[in-house]
Amino acid sequence: MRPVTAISLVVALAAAVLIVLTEREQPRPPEELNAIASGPAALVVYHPGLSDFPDSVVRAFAGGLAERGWRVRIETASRNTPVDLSQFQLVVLASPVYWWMPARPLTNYVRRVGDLGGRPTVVLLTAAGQGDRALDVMRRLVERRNGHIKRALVLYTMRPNDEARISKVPNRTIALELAHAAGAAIPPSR
Amino acid sequence: MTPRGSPIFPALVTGLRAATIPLLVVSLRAGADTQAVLLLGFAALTDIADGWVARRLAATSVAGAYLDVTVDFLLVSAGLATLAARGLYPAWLVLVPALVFALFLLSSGLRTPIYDPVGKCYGGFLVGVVVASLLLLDLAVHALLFGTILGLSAVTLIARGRWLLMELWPRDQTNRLRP
Repeated sequence: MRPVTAISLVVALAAAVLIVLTEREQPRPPEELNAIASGPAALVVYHPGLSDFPDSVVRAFAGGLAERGWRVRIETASRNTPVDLSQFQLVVLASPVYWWMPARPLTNYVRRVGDLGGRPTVVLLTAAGQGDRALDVMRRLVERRNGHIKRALVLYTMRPNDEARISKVPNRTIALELAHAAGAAIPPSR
Repeated sequence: MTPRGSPIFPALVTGLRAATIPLLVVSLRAGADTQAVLLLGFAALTDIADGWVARRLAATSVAGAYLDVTVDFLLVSAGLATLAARGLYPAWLVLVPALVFALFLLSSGLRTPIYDPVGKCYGGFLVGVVVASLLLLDLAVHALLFGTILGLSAVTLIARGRWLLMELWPRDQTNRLRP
């Protein structure tokens, strides 16, 4: 076997496995933050992805919301995720960017919901360094489903999240701080 | 008989590649990815050039071949270690090419030729991985590159490991032929 053939075979096999892994739903039990508070409710629907980075970013953002007084319900995007949004005043859609696109389980969920009912919607993406195209796709998807984009944020693993601080603070720490601050910046509203 | 040229010239070209290693680390640590890609491109050119110069001057040598492979190993290890420090790959990934290099050194003195479908291209492939990691900033692409490093390393480790085991514990060929 020639080296090029061996390399091509391994790349093709790895790509096939990855396509399956990145498009697979990863249902997890729902979680609630600030459940006993009397504030308005936010639904966070996210796709956990292959690393712990998207999960950490979502938790940081949800923590910021809870700190601000929101009751937060965290769900993973799957066929079992509730599509009735009547009890939520804010929707947060979060996903890692794979193959320069938002993860399919999340976009499928938005399509299943059908109508976001003009709800304020936050789009939160995690990417290696090129997330603009995926953000455009999510914006268009939300707007077509009658959602109102309240905030759109892409946080990166490779591209500096804050040029001014990148030499002093790890990029991941900056991403989590920015996610938390973005959540805490959304005032509770009914 | 063709007179043999001095092996110093190909070694100098290999030395140029070695000189890019600290520059590569500094560039990657500073986030100057374009500069790092250019340095890796230059390193790839010297990798082609040192072999060409050695053949052209009839100055090929065992020491030169080992120097070439060692510099390749140091270059990709430095690249992968710095990318790991930036959180792109797990730190232990650096051990994988180190293991391949160690097995290469162990198996390079074998009497029988080794069938390794990847070995010859392994260094170049890893340089390509570092370049692709910097140019294709996508989480799935990085996962693909990670999986491919593991897959190709497994292929070369199995191929070389098998030959090494056969060399250390040779089977008695005459016994195998008996009914």
